[in-house]
Amino acid sequence: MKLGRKRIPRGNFLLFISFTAISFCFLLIISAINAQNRNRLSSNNMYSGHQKDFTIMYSENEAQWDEVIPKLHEKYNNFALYTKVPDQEKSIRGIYINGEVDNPPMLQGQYFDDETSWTDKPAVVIGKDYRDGVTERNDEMYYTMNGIEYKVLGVMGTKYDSRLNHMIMIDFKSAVSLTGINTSYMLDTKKKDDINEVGQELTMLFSYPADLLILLGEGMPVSFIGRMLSSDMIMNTLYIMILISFSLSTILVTFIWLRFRSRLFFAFSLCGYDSKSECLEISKRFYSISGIGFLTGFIVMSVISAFLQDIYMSAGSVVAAFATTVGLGSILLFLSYFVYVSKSRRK
Amino acid sequence: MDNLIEIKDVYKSFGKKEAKVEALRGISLSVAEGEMVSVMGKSGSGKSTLLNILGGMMSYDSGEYIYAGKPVNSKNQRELTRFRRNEIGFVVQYFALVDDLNVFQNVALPLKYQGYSGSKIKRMVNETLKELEIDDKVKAYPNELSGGQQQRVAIARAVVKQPRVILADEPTGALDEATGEAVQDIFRRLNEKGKTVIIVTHDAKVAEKCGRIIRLRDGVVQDEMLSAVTADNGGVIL
Repeated sequence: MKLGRKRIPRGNFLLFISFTAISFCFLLIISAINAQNRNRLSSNNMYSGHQKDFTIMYSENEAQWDEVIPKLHEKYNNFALYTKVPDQEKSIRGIYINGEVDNPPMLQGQYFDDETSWTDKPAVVIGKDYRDGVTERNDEMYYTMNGIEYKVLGVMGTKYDSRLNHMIMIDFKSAVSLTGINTSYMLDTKKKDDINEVGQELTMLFSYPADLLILLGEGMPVSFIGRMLSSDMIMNTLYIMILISFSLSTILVTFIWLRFRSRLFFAFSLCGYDSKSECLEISKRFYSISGIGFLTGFIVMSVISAFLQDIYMSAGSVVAAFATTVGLGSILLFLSYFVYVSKSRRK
Repeated sequence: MDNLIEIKDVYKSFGKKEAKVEALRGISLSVAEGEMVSVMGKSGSGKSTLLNILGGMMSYDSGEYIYAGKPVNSKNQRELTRFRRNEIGFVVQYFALVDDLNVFQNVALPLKYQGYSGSKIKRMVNETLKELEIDDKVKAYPNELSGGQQQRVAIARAVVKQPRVILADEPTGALDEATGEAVQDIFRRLNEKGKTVIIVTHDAKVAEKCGRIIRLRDGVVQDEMLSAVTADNGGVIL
């Protein structure tokens, strides 16, 4: 194959095509997994799917959450509390978040954390449909609802139309002050197994005269097959399998490239190159070709994501794909190189 | 003339146990500085193995290799690489040019990482290409050159660093007769300028143009003789 007057060695062409394909597939897979997570969040109304709803009744202390939240915060991690704020026009939800739970895709700014979701300063994360209502002051954004001004932490949403785009999340304290303590809530945890434990603790913390009604499961042990069939496990297994097949294809491609470039090694040997110089020359060629391949895959993927609404490529997925492709390629290049050189020298 | 190259009782084998093949079986020979020698023999006689050992491309199992009065330690890769880089220019049958580098870049390969400035590399490469009458192809890629031209580039690459010894393995094997003769003339001219040239060949015509012919058989020297050219100049056919 020729590029202008220059004849492109078969190995280089193969390496370029492989890295283009590998980076494209890898980006596509990461984006698809992210999209699936977002779709799951969106279709579950931002919940994980194993959330439990509960109701508080007969509490005479409107500030009881002020006592409960610090105790929960101390004892448990990776859970969230939600409450719906009645509003005729908007879908508003209060949130307290501690540790990691599934976060919605952010278009701008940050999502809530344990500090911003339990604060005396009203805070909000708005869906992208409400961007127009934001006012700016001293480099900070504010959003006013029902006469209360909330500091905007960030804007969430998706490129395509989804529930997230027209949802509003406010800090838990502000939500409770609007709804009152005796209302309905939702408890969610990152791990399904944790939800019963946190639920039981909540029941204990809201003691007489308050009554917390929550329907908890029996906490049956989940079999391996059961875990396998749960969506998270399937996705994780799929992800690991993709990584393994990706690694194998990179091993193959790097090895084939080195085999195809044996003439280059021979020329270096004839010219009296030492291992350091050989390594430098080979690395220069490998990185420039794999880099161009990655860039091509990235451009193709960018074009596709611009036209397909479901595919969204985040900076994180690009960095992950790049680090994996070139990082893994590097390890393999040097390993294969030393195996190849020592083998050829032994001969 | 003093001996530049001297090997004594050198053994080299490949493979292990039943698959073991002895390529060289106690070979001894010497080459004087400024000599032009051809090495002939049937396939498997050990010609190329000998050339690779002389050029520091391959280690040997036992024996002694003395170059310019000093032993060459074939077990030390770093030393062998330095020896090959400083003293030896290699030319091979199928040229071993790098396809994605142009003529200039191919010839400049041995000068890279040697501490030469860019301008000095340019000057050295251009001078060599001019000497080999291929300076009009400086920007051409190997696929744009004929076989003869490619071999000239390969010779230029071998001589650009001014080695004392040029080792050529079947340098005319892939060329037609006329082109082969032209390439042979280049080796003769280089030899006249003081380079020691050792050519491995099957071709008796090529061998005849060298000062001395060494015949190998089964990994040892079968016989040595001065060529007709040398005999015409007062030498004796052994």
